Amino acid sequence: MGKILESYFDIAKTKGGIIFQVKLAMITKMSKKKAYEAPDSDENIRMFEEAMKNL
Amino acid sequence: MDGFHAPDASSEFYTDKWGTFLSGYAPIRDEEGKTVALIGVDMKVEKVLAKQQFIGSLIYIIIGASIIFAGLIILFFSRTIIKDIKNLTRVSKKISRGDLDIQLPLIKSKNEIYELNEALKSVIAAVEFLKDHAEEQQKEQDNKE
Repeated sequence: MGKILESYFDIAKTKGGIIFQVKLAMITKMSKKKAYEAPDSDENIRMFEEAMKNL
Repeated sequence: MDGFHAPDASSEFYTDKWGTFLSGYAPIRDEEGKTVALIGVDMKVEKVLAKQQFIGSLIYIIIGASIIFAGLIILFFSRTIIKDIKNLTRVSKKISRGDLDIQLPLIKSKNEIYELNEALKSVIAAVEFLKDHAEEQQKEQDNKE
């Protein structure tokens, strides 16, 4: 379960609202639901970290 | 005679007591470029015809090989690029019908189709997110009522 990955969407929401959440989904190619279903692997976390820098 | 100005060959065979030949001529020039002599070569008719036949056969072989090569290229493209494009078109049609439960094709080659596939993944993720968000808000609104 990608609880850590899902939490990035909450961080994005505090940073820039729904626009940032949509951007995060587009960069990572994962919706919030898909992020929750995906594993919290190092690779995925790294991808979300990179995406957060680009928001 | 044209052979005095530039290399030339007769267009018809001629026959003499030694046989049937095709002749070719070329000028021999001095330091100033003035033609001082003419060299002629006779080629036996059998040799000329054999060479003509060889060139004719070679043309057919080249045309045949080109057709096979073109066919292979078409087959390659139809199996790779066109197949990928068809898959993307099928996926795009599904999205346009509101069906987001789709599996995008795995494209290994890093070309324009790969870029298109990746862009489509981004769009799907955004639409999925917005759909989930709208559903959550609808649920919250329903619960309030």
